[in-house]
Amino acid sequence: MNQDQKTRFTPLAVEQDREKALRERRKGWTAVSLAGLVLAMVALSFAAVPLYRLFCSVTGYGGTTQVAAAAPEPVEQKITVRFDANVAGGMPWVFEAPKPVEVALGESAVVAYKGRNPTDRPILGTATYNVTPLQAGQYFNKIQCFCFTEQLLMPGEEKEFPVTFFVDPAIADDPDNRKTRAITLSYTFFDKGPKALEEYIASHGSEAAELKGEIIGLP
Amino acid sequence: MRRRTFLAASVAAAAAALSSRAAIAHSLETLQQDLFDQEKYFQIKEEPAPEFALQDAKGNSVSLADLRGKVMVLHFIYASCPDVCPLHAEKIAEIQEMVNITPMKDRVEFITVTTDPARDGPEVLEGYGQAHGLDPVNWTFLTSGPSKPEDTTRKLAEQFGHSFTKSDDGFQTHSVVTHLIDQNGEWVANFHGLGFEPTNLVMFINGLTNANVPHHEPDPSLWGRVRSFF
Repeated sequence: MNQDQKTRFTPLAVEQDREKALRERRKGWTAVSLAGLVLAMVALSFAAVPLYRLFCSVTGYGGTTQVAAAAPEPVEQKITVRFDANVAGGMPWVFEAPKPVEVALGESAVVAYKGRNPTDRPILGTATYNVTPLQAGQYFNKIQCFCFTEQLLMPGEEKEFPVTFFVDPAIADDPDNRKTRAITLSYTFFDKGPKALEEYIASHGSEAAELKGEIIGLP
Repeated sequence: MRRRTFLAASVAAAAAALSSRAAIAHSLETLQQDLFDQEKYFQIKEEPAPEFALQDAKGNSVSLADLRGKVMVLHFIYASCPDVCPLHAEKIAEIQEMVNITPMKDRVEFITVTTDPARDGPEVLEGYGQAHGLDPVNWTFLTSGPSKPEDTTRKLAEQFGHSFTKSDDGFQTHSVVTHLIDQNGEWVANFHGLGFEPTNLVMFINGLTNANVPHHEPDPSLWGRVRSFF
C-alpha cells in the first residue's frame, strides 16, 4: 500500500466524500422538486376553469343551479305523457317517438325515441326539446335525456335515445295546471352539417381515425 | 392519523362536489358553458337589456316591456345597406325557420331594428321581411318613428355595445351582432358576425325557453365525473 492509497482512506477523506455525495443528492432532490413544482403549476393553470366550475357547483356562486337528487314519492293521481318526434328540413334521419304513457304523479318512467340514418354518410345531429303546455314545463322533470348533446349516426345505423322522467306531484296543486291532463314532450333533430361533423371527429381523439375512414368526401 | 382523516375528508368532499356537478348537466348554465367552449363567436352577457320604445311598420308601439315572457333575438340593420345587412337578415331568417318548426315558435320573437329611420319608412319595413325570408308570424321590423330624434336607434345600438356610424354618402359602417334577451328582459348573450353555427344559436334559444324545465342527471361513474370536468 503506497502513501496515496493511505491518505484516500483516512476518516477525513471518507467524511468529505460522504458530504459531497449528500450535497449531490440534495441538489438532485431540489432539481426534481422544482421540476415537480413547475409541472404542478402548469397542471393547475389547465385545471383552473374546471376547478372554478366545481367551486360554483358546490357553492352556487355565480347563479349555478342546485338540483334535487331524487323523484318524490308517487301519488295515485295519473297523467298522460305524449311524445312527439320531428326532424328539421334537410335532416334525412328517420326519427320515431315512443307511444304515450300514463304515469302516476311522482313515478319515474323510461321511454325510448328511435333514430335511424338511412343515408350512406355519417350525420351529426343535435336535438331541441320542448314541453307543452308551457305552464306544465316546471313540473316535468327529466332524469335522463339527449337534449343539447351531439349525436352521431353512421350510415344505416339505428340508435335508441332513452328519456327518463317523472311529473312532480306538485302539479296537482297548481291552479294554472288544473285542466292539464296530458303533457307532450317534443323533440326536433337538426343536422349539424359537414363542418361540425369534421370538428366532432377532430375532437374525439383516438376514435377519429377509425371514423374518418368511413366518411365520404372528407380529407 | 390526522393526515389520514384529512385525506379521507378531502376525497369525500371531492366526490360530493363531483356528484353535484354531474347533477346540473343539461341545464342552461351548462349549455352556456359548452357554447362558450365550442362556439368562438358566442359571448355570455349578464345584464338587463337596454330599454327601448319603438314602433313597427303600422305605427304600433313596441317596447322591451311588451316582449317580456318571450325570448328575443334582436339585431340592427338598415335596408339600403348593400353588403352585410342582407346576409345578417338571411341568417336570422334561417334561425327563425329552424325555431318555427318547433313549439318554440310561440315563445320566441325576432326583432330587427333599423338604424336609418329617415329612409326606412313603413313601406320599406313592410317589404323587407318578405324579400329576405323573414316570417311576420314572430318577426317585427322596428323603427323610432317620426316623433323621436333620427339617431334614436343608432344610440340604442350603442347601448348594445356597437355603433352604426353614418358617412356622407348615406352608408353606415358597423359591426354584425345578434343579441339574445331572455324572458325577463335580461341580455344573456351575443353571437358575433355571421360565422357562428346556426344550430348553436337555436340550442341556446332552446335552453332559454326551457329554463323552467328541471333536469336531474343520474350519477355517472367516479371516473366519468372526473373526466367531465376536463
